[in-house]
Amino acid sequence: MSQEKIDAFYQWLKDHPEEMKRAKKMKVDDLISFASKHGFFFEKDEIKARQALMHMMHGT
Amino acid sequence: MFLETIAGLDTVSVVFLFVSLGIALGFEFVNGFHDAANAVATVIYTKSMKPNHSVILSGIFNFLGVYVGGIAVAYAIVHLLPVELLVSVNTHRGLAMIFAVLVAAIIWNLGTWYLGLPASSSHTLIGSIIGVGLANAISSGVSMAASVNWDKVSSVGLSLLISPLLGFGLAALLLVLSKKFVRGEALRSLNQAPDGDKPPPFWIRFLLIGTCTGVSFAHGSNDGQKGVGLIMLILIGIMPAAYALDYQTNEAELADVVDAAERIEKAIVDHPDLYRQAVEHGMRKIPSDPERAYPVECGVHRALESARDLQAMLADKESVAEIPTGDRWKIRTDILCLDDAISDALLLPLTSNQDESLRLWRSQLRLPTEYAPEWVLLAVALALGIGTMIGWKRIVVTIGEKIGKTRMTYAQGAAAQTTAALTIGVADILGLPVSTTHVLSSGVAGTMAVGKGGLQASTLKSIALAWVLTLPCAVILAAALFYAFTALS
Repeated sequence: MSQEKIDAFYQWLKDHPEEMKRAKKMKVDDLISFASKHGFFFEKDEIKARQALMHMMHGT
Repeated sequence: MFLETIAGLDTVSVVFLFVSLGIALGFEFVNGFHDAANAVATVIYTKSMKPNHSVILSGIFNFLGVYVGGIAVAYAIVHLLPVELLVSVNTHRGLAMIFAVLVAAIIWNLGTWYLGLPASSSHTLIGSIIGVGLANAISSGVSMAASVNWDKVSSVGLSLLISPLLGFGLAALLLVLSKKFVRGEALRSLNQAPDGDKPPPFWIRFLLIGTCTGVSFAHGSNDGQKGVGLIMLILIGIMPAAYALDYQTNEAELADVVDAAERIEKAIVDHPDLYRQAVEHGMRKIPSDPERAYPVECGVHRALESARDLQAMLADKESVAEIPTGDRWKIRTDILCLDDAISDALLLPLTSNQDESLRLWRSQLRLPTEYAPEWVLLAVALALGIGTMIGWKRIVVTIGEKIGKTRMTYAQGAAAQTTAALTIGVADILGLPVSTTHVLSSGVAGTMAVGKGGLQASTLKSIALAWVLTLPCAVILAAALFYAFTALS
């Protein structure tokens, strides 16, 4: 399930602070391709859904 | 009528009109894409609907919410301004005020969206209105007590404060009740987070899509009206002959206005002591320096004059078209002044019958002045609906703390959305603007609090920021813009 993939990708980024720094500057499409190169496969809508959920939960 | 009236305007007014309308519609459009994520997040995250379908559904229900949501909230926003400013919106100062509110609100909304800061369009708009009211009071020598309609500001402030608490409590309660009354497999399904690529069971999908639709409709009905209120201020200010009174007002409604004016006159004559008390209460609003006062002073002291003028000007009139153009603004002014006088009188210790009568007369009086033409509703509905549909495309993923590991169960999503739709719906009926973002996010926080997810500190921070950052910043920005625009005019 892609949400788990996103979790795993996020955890991997936390474990690799340099990659996290690079990822923070990426656009969505680049981020997805970057994730897939490291074995984390998810779609654009799925990571956007996660972001939307965060917006809703955080009131932003 | 809009096009006919434009033909009679000078070039500067036409430009001003279209720029103002563009900004007001832009405010609604920005509001749509600002809040799109909130409306569709749950259904997309849970795979209940495809993103494209859900944003179209949300856009349509935002549109319908504006269109059928009434205008009580729109006029609650308008009446945040003191009545003296409302009866002067056709002056340079009045137009500078409208423009400052519009520009400040859209700058702040766009800025916070771009920077990813928590924001609330309600706090922004209300802050902007308070800002121009205060700036106008300082520059005109009017007392701070008369700078804005503080009674209305208090009630709106209270609704902004209470609605998230209500959202929090009700959503938490719904979740507890679902655990108590739903049993077996159904309860297990409800308390699951999305698993794999499969959508939730049909009935949960139905529930989530239904509540998402409710949130979208409620969002349209409350947030859309903020734009409707702004546009009515623009139209009344720039084209008073066409928009000061509702052209659709029929003979019976005009007769109701005359009836209310007659009864108010009789009440004043029959109750001189009560009238004196009301005048004394109303007199506190009058500016200390008469030379720097508003062009028109309302208040109880001129209620008798307004009531008699209204009866004279509306005698034997069957439609607004029959009223001479020059009288329409005066009728609007008299109606607003009488309305203000009634709000002062309602603060006195009255019997329940007196209180009821005043409220009835007030609703009769407001018929020709509190309205919105169909095309205004349609334009705002389209701006908000399209903004919502585009909003999904504009979601920018920010890897970092905002994408952290999180889960939301179907029950939490449904409880938060149901609560938000209901709370906003009740606010619509009461004519109170609320922050849809705050109501929804505090609903989620409520479900997290009872669902062992703990209290969401980020939600509390967002809500607090709207009060300590958005509100004062909008006040300062709008005040500065008001000074700039009045200096230019």
